[in-house]
Amino acid sequence: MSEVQTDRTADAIVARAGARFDKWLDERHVTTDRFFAWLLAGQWLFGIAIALTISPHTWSGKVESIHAHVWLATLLGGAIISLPLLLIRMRPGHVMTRHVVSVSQMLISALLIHLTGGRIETHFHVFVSLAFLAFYLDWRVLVTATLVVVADHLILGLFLPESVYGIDNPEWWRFLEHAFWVLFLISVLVYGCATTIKTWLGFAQEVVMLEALAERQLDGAHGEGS
Amino acid sequence: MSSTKYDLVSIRSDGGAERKMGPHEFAALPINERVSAVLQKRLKFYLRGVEVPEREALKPD
Repeated sequence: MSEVQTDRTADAIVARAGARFDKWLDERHVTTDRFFAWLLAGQWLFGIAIALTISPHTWSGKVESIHAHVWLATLLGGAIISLPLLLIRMRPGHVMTRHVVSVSQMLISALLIHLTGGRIETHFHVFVSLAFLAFYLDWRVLVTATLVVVADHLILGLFLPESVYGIDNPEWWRFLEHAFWVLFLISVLVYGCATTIKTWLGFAQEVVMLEALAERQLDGAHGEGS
Repeated sequence: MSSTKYDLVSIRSDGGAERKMGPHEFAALPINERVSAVLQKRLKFYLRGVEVPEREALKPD
C-alpha cells in the first residue's frame, strides 16, 4: 500500500469510526427523548392527581368550585409538556429537543413544588430530574436545567415565596442555597457525562485499530491473490 | 483508554528510526497516526520485554 493510499485508507477508517461514534450518541439522545416523552406525560398526570388529592375544591361562602391548583396542574402542566412532546415526535435526537425537554422538566419540578405548597420533600424532584437529564450525556442540557431552576427559585422566591419555600418570609439569599446544591450535583453529573463520553471514544478507537488491522490483512490477501 | 496487553510500543518511522513509548503515550497519539502505523506494519508491541502479536495487543480488554 503506497503512502497516499495508506493516508486515504486511514482517513476513511477514522471517518467511519467518527460516524459510528456520532450514531451511538444520536441513539442515546433519541432513546432519552423517548424516555422523557413518557416521563413528562406521567408527571403531568401525577401533578393533576396531586392537585385533586391535596386541594380539589375551594369555597366562596357556600359556593364550592374547583380549586385553581387543579386547573393549574391541568392547563399549565399540559402547556409545559406540549412543546417537548411535539419536538420529541417531530425532531427526536435534535439538540433543540433536549434543551426544551430540560426546560420543561425543570418547570414540571417548579409546578409540583407549587402544587405541594413548597414542601421541601418535593424539591427532591429537581435532583431526580437532573440525574435523568444526565442520560443525554450532554453537559449543556444540565446547564440549561440549572439556569431554569435558579431563575425559578429566584423569581418565585421574591414574588411568591410560599409557592417555592412553603413560608412567606424566606431569606432573600435562600435561592443561592438551593442553587449551591444543584451546582454540587451537576458538577458530579457533568464529570460522569465527560468520563462516559471518553470511555465511548476509547471503545470507538479500539474498533478503529482492529478495522485497520483487518483492512491491512484484507489488502495483503488481495495482494497475494493477484 | 490504554491496553493492559502491552507495556511498550515501538513505532518505526519512514526513515527507519524507532520511537518507543508506553500505552498511555501511544493512546494519546492522533488516531490517524496510529491507524497509518497499523496499515503500514510499523508497530510492535511488547509485554515485559516479550513481543506480543499485533492482533492480540489490539484486542479490546
